[in-house]
Amino acid sequence: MKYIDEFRNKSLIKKLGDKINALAPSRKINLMEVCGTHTQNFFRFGLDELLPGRVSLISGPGCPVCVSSAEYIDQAILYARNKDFIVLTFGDMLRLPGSRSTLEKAGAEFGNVRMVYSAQDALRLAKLNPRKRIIFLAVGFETTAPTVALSVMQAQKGKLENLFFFTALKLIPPAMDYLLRDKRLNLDGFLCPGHVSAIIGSRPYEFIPKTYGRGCCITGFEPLDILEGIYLLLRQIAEKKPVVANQYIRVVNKEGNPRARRILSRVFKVSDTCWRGLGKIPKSGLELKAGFSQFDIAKIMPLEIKSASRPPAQPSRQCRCADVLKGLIKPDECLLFRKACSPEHPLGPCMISVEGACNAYYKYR
Amino acid sequence: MIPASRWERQLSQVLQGETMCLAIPMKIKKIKGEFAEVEAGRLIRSVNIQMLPDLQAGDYVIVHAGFAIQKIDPKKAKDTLRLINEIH
Repeated sequence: MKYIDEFRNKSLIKKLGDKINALAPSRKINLMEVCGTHTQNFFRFGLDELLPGRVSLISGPGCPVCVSSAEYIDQAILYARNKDFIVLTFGDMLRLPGSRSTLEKAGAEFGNVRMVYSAQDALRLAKLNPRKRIIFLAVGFETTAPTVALSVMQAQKGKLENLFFFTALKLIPPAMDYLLRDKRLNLDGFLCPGHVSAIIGSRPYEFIPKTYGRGCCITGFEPLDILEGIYLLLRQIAEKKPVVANQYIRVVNKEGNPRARRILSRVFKVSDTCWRGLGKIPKSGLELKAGFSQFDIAKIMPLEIKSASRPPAQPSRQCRCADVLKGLIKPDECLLFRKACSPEHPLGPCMISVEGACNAYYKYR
Repeated sequence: MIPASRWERQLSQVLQGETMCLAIPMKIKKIKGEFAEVEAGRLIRSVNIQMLPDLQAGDYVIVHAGFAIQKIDPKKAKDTLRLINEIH
């Protein structure tokens, strides 16, 4: 088994589609897929065509690029303007707009922005460029956070003095809590992100049935995973027994990855943070602990961004990514969608990121 | 080397850093201390395995941003497929 084709079996996909149609209650059901990879694969495999019209899948805020704030990009650009620095970023952050520019443009102008695949690359590049200061843009959720934490620990152990981290790591369960408080959304349940759950396990979602009486299901990313996740969620709704279900048992267990979480909590502490579109959410971010502050570029070299004096560029005023990220509208309800805004000329983060809901709608619908 | 299928293209995008968030199943070929050589399709990479104790060659792991983050349980994968088959 290679864990790919087996979970793309056409006859089983069709069978699950039929079972979902038979099981779905007659009223309208709103399910949120929190993770951007669920959004992408749901449309990429055409699964939307298998669901009954009364079951809506609403995209959530689980796209790290989409929820990074304009201020974060502004500050990263300021670092990139300094010729003593090399700024390292995951690829899909490059085109994300700050208030005025992008890292891609800053890179073209100043030549010191580079795309990397892993926080490990930052260690390697810091050793290769001892005269430069290397800044790694650490964005992502619980899946990425331990990879950054381990790299910070390695930097400390290796006494690297020219490597710094600019962190905007975020936590998923507090964002789900924030969305459940929003009465406009009227969510019936969540598909929980499989690879965030691979780290945190199933316990952090228990507040969802306990406090809000809603069901949720930890779900994998292949077509059969997504459909079974939806099926299990609809069964909870039909039986009126909300729980934390786990469809993705081959990767996720109750405990998650305890070693990864230990590494994470050794390096980071929980803090309030700002999400693009959602605003400030208490205890939804991670910042470096005091013992690692020598690696925290925001502490060592804080940069003042006068955001009030820098209005966003004109087109993005009409951009409704904020409402898309909250699940209040579907991408095609934005006036810019498919007109001024496309993957070739993206105006907002949800179109820029391949994990973004607008990007998925554009490509596959 | 041009990856053949769509998932291989997607995989190669992930491994080149074009997208950050996707994580994929890869097979452990060889373990070298804190790193392992992993493969998926015709693509081979070295990934950090410090987050997972007790890995062996032949195990499948979920790889995210240069790290193996979780081991895949083959028995539970079969259970999932069996359960889907048994839904009636």
